[in-house]
Amino acid sequence: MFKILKTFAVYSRPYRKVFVLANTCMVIMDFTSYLVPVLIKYATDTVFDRVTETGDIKILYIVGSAIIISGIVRGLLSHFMIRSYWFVSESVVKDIRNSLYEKLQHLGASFYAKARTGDLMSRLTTDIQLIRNFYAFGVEHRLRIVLISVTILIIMLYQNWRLALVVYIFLPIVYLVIVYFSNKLQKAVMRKHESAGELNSTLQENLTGIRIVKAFAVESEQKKIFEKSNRTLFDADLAVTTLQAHLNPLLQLTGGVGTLVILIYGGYQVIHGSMTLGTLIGFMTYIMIIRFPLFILAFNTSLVSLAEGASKRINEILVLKDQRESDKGTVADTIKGKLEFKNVTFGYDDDQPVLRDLSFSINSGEKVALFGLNGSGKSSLISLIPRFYCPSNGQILLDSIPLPQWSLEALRLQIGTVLQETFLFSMTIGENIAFGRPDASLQEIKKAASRAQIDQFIELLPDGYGTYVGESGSGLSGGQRQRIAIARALLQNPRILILDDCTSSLDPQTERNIQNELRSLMEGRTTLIIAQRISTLRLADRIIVLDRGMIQDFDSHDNLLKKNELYKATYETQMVCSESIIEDSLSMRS
Amino acid sequence: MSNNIKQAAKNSDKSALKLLSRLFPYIKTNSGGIAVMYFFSLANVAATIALPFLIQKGIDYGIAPKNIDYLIKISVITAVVLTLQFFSFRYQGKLMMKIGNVILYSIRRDLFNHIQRLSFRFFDKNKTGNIMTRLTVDVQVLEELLMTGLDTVLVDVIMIVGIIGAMLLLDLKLSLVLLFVLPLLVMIVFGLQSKIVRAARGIQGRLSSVNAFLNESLSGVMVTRSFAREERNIQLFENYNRSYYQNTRRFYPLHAYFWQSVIMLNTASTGLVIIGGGLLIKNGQVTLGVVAAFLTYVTQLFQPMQKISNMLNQLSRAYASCERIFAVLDEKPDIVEVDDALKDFKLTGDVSFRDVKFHYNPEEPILKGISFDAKAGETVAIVGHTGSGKSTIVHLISRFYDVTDGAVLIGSRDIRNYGIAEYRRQTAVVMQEPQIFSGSVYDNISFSVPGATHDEVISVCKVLGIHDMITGFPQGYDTPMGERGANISIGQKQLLAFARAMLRNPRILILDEASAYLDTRTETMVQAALSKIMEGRTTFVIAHRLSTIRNADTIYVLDQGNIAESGTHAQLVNRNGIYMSFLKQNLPGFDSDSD
Repeated sequence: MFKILKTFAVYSRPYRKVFVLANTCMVIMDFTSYLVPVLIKYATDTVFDRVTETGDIKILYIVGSAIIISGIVRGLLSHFMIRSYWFVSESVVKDIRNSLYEKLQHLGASFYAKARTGDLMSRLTTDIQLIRNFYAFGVEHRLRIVLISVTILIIMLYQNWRLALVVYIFLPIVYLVIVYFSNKLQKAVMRKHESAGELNSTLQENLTGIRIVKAFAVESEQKKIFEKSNRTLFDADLAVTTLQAHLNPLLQLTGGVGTLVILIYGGYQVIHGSMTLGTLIGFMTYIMIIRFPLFILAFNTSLVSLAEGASKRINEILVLKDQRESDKGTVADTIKGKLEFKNVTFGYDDDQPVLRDLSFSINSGEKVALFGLNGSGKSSLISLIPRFYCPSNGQILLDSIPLPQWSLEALRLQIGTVLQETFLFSMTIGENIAFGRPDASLQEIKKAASRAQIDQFIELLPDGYGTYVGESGSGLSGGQRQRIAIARALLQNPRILILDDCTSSLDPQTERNIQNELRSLMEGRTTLIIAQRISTLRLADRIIVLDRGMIQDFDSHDNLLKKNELYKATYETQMVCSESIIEDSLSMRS
Repeated sequence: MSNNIKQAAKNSDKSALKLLSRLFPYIKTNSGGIAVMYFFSLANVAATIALPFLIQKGIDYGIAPKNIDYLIKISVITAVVLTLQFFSFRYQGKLMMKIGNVILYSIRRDLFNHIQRLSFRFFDKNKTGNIMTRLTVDVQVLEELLMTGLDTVLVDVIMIVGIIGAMLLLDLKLSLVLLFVLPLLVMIVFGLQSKIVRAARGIQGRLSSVNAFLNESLSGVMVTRSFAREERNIQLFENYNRSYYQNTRRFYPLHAYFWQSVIMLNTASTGLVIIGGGLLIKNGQVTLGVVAAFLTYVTQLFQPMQKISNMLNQLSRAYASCERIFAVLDEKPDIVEVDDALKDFKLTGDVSFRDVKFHYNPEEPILKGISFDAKAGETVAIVGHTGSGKSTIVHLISRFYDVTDGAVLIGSRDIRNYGIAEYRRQTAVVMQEPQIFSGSVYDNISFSVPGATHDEVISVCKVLGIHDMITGFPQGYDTPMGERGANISIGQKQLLAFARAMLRNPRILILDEASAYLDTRTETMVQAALSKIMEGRTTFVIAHRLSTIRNADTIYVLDQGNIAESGTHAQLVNRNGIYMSFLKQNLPGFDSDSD
């Protein structure tokens, strides 16, 4: 428990006064609850007799009201306790969530290359929720388990140590049994979650591939696979619920046995005159109070240990170094666009360089295409320019200034990127276009859209630029999404433009239509294009042919056709179709 | 207040009846278990009510008059009742959980199996995510109901009645304390608690939007990065987070008020029992033991009351979930097998369309009367713009849909006369989006022929020329694929899909834009293999690339649901009609080079 409190001490410090208040309320509240059995004992031992003897009922009303008042005080205290604990928990969790988000926004590309969205999401939702529960009632319960069992023991010892010891003999055993159960339960719950996740992915896979399943008529195979997951989940569910079904009667029995012991042994003592009947009835009330910590023990043990895991996972992210630490640069000039690579070597792992000793330079305003087979390092090369990654060796100069000397924000704001897959956020189309410049006027947004030739389409939509784009831009075709991405880059008015294979996923017709927009986008900017198709490569002035991380050639289209084998071969396969059809049509008409 | 409760109870009664009637078949199969469970539940209730009663007897007739024999007798009975209570509670719980889990398991199984039977139209209308929700979230809502509530209605009502009855039996006058306790308890449990539950659901909604924003930020992080928009996103997130936070601050006071009231009422009723008990003892109307029993009973009313309230709150949600689950189960597959369908046949490969019309809705006809004959062994290419109906034609051949009018003849018999599974077993489809499942490369290829041997898979891959590619994967044919598997390119996935189709050795093969993702080099390779695949079987090809189309025996050019032109490549080029203009539009560099 203290591990978690220590981990998040920074976050709870601003609320420590409320936290102390919550704990104080809790302690006073529990002490007032011990008052009730004392009052009941007093009533049975003294008041009832006196009332019967003297007929004076004033004292009865006083004791009765005292109990009622203690109830009101306890109620109020519990109110403030719950409110304070919950206030602290929601506030702490809010702050942690904000920090996490901020951290995630600034973590580098190398982090995201390895991280899985599902895993991150579970840290941000399930784990955060565990921390919330820990602060809301985990701490409270843990403290009260200790406090109540110790104080009740002391009070009972004080009132009748023999009976107290007999009652308490069982408790350590019960505690052990509960802790044993809760450990088992925790493992079973984890298995249940795993099985549920397993079932979900089976299901997800089946549903996304349902057309193939039907096409191949393998429904019965799929049913078998699902049956297996369903069975596993059933078994896991049953394990959890069976454990619960075993634990709850045990807890109930503990209370009952306690009462029985008091009845027999206490009754024996009363009969022998070594204890009053009031004490006996008081003891029965104490047993009811002790049942509370017993009932929450199992739940609390698993909550605290789950929260410990959660805090570790959350903290792992919070302590990571992010891009802000490497952002020491100060240069924020307007980029002219001259790029020089000097002996640049780069790899994701130290022993496996993806780029080897690259040296070349690109003039301001020049359009350069990158060509090469899969895995030749094209994408790695361009990711170095906005400093998503840093070269492990060598240097990149922009306008003769080394990249690290540029301010990260100034650098990235002046580099525009259009990626292969257009990611659209669930906001309006207008906001998506203005993503890089949220302050842009509608006028500017419209202008960018018209240059990307998407304005007519947008205006036909029911809400125009205010049309809400669904999750990941569903409802738009690939070409439309790509045009929105182009408009987005245009509005940013970047000095350097990077087109990362942004047309391959489009069908040839759309690709051809979009090439004009690309041309207008490239105008007057230093441009790097990655492409598979010759027709797109030809938009560039010069073409870099990359081969396994090294530059094989860096020349114009015409020259490459003469000297580069790979380039020539690709050109021929791609062009042969269109040329042969011309021949076909010519030969047939003649 | 009480009116509201009645109304709410009435509503949930109605929904509960409907809900239970639909769940009845599931519950019925477990009716033996349920009867036993109720037996144990009632035993548990009886024990719970009996215990304070026994203690009262022990105090009043054993301890007070110093009758040790009586005390021992009562203690023995108490011990027996405790044991009984322990075992009945245990078996009740175990049975309830088991029955609940069996019901959930059966619902999940039935849902999944039913979904497997539904046809394309259903999946056209319903998104994957929505269907997923039926099987996960909605089933889980039922789980909460079944795990906590299966025994509630009957048992808890009996518990409350029993406790009140025991109090009345013990002492009528002291029971007047109930006049104070009961109305307040009902108000707290049914009024305040349903308010809390409703507020909690509102908060859950806010939390979902925080999480949705998070999820999207993570997926789009590279875009954010390249536009240097981190700070703005952080600000937006703080807004979402704050709005959720402010909502929780309106919520938890309710929670605090609830427990405050419960604690106050509990203690106050203890105080009242002491005062009332004292007054009655003074007049000799009541014994000390009775007072002690009342102290226990008065606090025991809360729990069953709270459980009933929980149950009522859950019912409305469970009702909505049940409705959605049964909506799926009620869905009828629209491709059904006729009763006397052919089960044992061998397709020749002849396919004919006879004036086939098709539409999803009558205002938008997709096919307006298509007729053609494809002979066994022929290769038929279908070309046309998006929306011209070319995919519909191949879907009809796979019998994913049935014609609206006209007929599809397979070897001179109507397609609807064949047994669906066997028919599909002799055909194969390669679609534009290759679907890769988790499992190894081998699993993915043998997907189409469960039980195919490694050798069969390997020989197919050798024919296709992808054997070397696969042995180049980290673990060859055993390389894991899918979400957690190795990253292979979409083109490589497409090749596995080809192998999968090929393994079936189909009589009719359908390639639905199947080579769209292949790069130039690979395409050439696959084309060579394709001509081998196509040999001897009827093949339907939808493609944009000329190289795939031009070798077809017949090309059908589709235009707005009609066949506009047909013939061989040479004939169509010669005609210089729609086919030529289609080629010009779809071949990059074709007419821009000739400008």
